[in-house]
Amino acid sequence: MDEAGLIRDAQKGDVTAYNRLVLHFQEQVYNVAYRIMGEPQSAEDAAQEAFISAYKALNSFRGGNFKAWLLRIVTNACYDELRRRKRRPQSSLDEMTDDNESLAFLRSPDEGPEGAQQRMELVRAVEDCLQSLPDDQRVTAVLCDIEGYDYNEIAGITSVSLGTVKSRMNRARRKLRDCLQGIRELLPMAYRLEGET
Amino acid sequence: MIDFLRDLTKPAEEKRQEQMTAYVDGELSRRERQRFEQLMADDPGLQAEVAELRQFKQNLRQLPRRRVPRNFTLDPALYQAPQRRPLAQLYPAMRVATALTAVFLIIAVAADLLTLGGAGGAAFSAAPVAMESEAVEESAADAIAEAEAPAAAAEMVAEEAMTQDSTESANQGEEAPAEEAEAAPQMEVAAEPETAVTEIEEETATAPQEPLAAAPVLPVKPTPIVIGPETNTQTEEGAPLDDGASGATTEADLSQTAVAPTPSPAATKTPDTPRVQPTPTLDDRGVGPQPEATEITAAPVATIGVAQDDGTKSAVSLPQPQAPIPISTLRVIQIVLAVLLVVLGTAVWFTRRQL
Repeated sequence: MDEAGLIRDAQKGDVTAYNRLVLHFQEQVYNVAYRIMGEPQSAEDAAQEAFISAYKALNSFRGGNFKAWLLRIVTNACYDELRRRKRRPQSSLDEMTDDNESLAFLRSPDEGPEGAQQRMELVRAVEDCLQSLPDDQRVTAVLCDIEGYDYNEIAGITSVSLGTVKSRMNRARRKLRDCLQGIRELLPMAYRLEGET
Repeated sequence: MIDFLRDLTKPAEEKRQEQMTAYVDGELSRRERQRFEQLMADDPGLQAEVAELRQFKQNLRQLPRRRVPRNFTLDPALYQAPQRRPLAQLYPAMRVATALTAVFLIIAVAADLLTLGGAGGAAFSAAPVAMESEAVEESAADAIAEAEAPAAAAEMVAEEAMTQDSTESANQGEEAPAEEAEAAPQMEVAAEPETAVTEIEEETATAPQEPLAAAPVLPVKPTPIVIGPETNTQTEEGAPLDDGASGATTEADLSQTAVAPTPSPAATKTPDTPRVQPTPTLDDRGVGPQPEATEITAAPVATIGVAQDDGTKSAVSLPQPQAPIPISTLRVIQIVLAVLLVVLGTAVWFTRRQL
């Protein structure tokens, strides 16, 4: 895919070219939004809002890392949604059902029901611990540990300094570690480092 | 800069934790990584912590990715071409312009301060100058008031002296000094003939310092006034009229003459006028000279007072209130830069919100 060419065409008004970019990046954008928001409906709204905003602001993209530029927009959209949520607290009624459906694909054919159940419980525990973090620490942990961005990219996406990223990352890890300490026994063997056994 | 200051106040344990996290994430420089690995080699506990952290990071990385519930593509019928945002395109240039404007403003202010206000500061100097002029006026008014008080008292005494002079020593030309006292509110040298002066000088050495005590009788400001010997007759202690007072008179003369002779019409014409002998003056308790002295003392003040009477206070030595000083070029530049900085800063902030 010629990313630069698609961007040029999209800047000229070619919506079809832009939609090709959307299809390429939407899974990443949605997962980041999901890890930040913690529930699917809010993540969907934030992702849609981010793509609309990105199209409108496409002419302000002056080259460089388009993915990082897109993630900055979705991060800001998530912050806006979080502020709206704090002003109007909502309860997600279908979260459990939706989680079961979305985690169904995680089941391995070689895995028994207990293994699958353990894996799902672990995932749910990690997600709950992630949601217990402050917003800025959670965003940093998601971008670093889940999405794999380095500190400089995270600083650019979140518009903070490198020292702030280090500080947030350290605090997020410590809190997550303390949160997961109680459920350490739930870690299945498959999720441990090979060198530990 | 902020990170540097933050690191200074950060606890050591927190710094160690941050360094460990950065090491696990591969964010340390080569030198920092080598230093940290040396620490790990010496600390088994640190090694265990690092291993645990690596495992945790791995677990998070293995979190399953969510499926996209739907496509987020846009409907071409609903969305036109992306809007052109000239401000957004100029954003980098605006940031640079804002920074440069701030730098120039700082330079302009620093230049203004270094030149001690320059022309612009002169506008402010008019205020303190006006205040100083007012202070001088007040001090002059105070001096006048203080001079007028003793002058008023001296006038009363002068009237008494005149009355006594006219009744006792009319033949000895006492009227002359009295007239002089009346006509010449200046200092008067009631000098004796040279012989008498000589006698006075001799007795001055032995006479008490009473004349000096007389001086305080006259509420006179320490102005350079030369008071005639009659002044010294104001001694209240009743020194011998013949000698002591004379001596005291002379003493006062010498002392006060040494202060500063104030030229006055009376002084200039003194040689031509009949001198008044100190004895009758002393008999009069030196009342005669007192008004003279008082008047004399009042003279310098009166001079100022005269100035007061004649015209404006500022006529003496008070600075004229200055006309409004035009704003200097440097000040204009500062104002322009400040306005420009506000405008650019607002534009940058507004554009950043849109981005």
